[in-house]
Amino acid sequence: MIWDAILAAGGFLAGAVALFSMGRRGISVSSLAVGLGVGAVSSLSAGPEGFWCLAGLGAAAAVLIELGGRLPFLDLSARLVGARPVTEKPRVFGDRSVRAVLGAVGLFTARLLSGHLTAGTVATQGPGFACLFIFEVGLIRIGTGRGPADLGLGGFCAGMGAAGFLLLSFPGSAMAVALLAAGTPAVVMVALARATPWETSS
Amino acid sequence: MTTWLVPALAGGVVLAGVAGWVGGRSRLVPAVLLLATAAGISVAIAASRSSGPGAAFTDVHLGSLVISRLAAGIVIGGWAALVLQLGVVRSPGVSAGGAAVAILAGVGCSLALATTGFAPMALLLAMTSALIWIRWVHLAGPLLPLRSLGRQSALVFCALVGAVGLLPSERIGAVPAVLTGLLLVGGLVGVVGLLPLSSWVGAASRVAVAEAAVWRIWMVPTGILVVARVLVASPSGLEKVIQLLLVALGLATAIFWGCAGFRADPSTRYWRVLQADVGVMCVGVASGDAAGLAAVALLIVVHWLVGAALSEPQGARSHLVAWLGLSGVPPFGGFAGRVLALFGAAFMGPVVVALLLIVFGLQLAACASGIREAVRRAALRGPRLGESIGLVAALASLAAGLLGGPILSALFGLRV
Repeated sequence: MIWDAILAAGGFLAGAVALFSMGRRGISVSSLAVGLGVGAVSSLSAGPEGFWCLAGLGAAAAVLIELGGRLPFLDLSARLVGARPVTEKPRVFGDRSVRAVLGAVGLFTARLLSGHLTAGTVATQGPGFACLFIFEVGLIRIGTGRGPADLGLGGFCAGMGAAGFLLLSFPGSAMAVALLAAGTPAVVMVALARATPWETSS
Repeated sequence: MTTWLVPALAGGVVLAGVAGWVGGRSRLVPAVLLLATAAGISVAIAASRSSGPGAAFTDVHLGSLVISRLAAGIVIGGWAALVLQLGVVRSPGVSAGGAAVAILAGVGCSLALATTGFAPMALLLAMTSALIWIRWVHLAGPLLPLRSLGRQSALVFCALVGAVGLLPSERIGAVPAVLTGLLLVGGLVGVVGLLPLSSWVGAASRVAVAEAAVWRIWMVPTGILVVARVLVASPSGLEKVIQLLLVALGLATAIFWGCAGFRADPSTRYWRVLQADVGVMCVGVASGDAAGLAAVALLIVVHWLVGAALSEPQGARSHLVAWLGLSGVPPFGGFAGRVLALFGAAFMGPVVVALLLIVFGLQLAACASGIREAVRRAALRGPRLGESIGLVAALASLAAGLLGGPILSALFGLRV
């Protein structure tokens, strides 16, 4: 039981890292943190396979994003969406402030929902909370994102959250679906991680 | 059953790559590859259908690849509509990238309609939306409507994967139906563009008509059909939630875009009329009635035809007949489709019927503006071949209205 709480806290911390990270380095750190956090949470049901599967995916995405600067064929952003001039937009609140407020709302919602949800037949309030929070972090990153890279990271967080919840529900049979849900946005995130933002971030 | 379907779809992906890679060197290559893919997949699906009984429209398993009669009609009709579009805009209007995206979107939507598993279906829809968005951003740059569409596509993906995560628990009754229903409907609503996720309309009017046709030809019919399938196959508690959400959002979308179409400029009018009709289709789907489903199929066919006719920017006579076909004037297909939707939704009460009638009036007014402009330009002649093909397509919408029953029966296996 104590492990449930510790691993769920780890998942929550991974979500917090993804919520507040900025810039290209922030995207790779976030993908590593989310992979480790959700992988650890899903290991409660899916065992070591679940952990290695999701943590490996997050780590691989982080490494590929870092390598994207040196290996041009990994960076598809110029070919897919092109390099565009950045628009400067005056804002009342900074990105992190807005994300902090939305994150607090997300925290409350995840807490509320996890008390009423059950992953499969197992009552998993703590781990379910971590997965829901990471899913909401994905939505927040998309809503406050300044460019394609933020959208990719948001999709990755949401995919990972859903994959974690799915593995908690069906540890054995849902591995392929979970990998697809998390892997698809991971590919997009790696390809667009170095795309030019549309607007300046404060 | 799927002996030829899988290689045909895989071949489509390969040909899309070839079209993108070598299509830039010759104007003819993208068009030829598109025609080859359309013919190959259509023949494979027809062969699959003739070799066995096939799946029922409502079948949902994990990971099978079989295609129902209705889905087969949508896939074959979609490829035919793409070829028709090609005939209207002709090869100089088809870029290598555009052909590659059209083929990939077609393969993605064909797979989404052929798969019986909900998870791959949702992921395929999300990936196809993202592919179209990337193409449009590549062409038009990060204009505000395209930035909104990017956020919308990402949110659609999140909602659909969230629903995929929660559905297994929903089936054993451990998740509130409202939450799963909201995620499912939220994702699918974003695919078809119901309010408040209607960024498709603004984005489609910022790119060339030939590029925007991918959304009209593939995403709208596939999204609507998937909505219908999810509605029928969802657990009992979820069905009511989805139905209520679809009726409310469908009516709101139809009225909003009906009003917007009434006061639109010529470049955006058709997309607004289409979006209002998507709202009507969603109400038809939510009715769960055979007439509602027939209305959806007929309106899809009408938009395949008149959308192609309106793609020729210099056409005048073809535009005139196309706007007439869309306006809801009998005996054109637009009239038959909307009347069927009204019959399907009649049991929902007088308020829904009254709101639908208001929508039909708004659509008539919007199309009347299109007719007025077409009459004003009647002396002009567009490119002879393109306009002639467009005129034939527009006249076919008249045939769709007069022979709606036999067409629905032959193409989709629907009996009205």
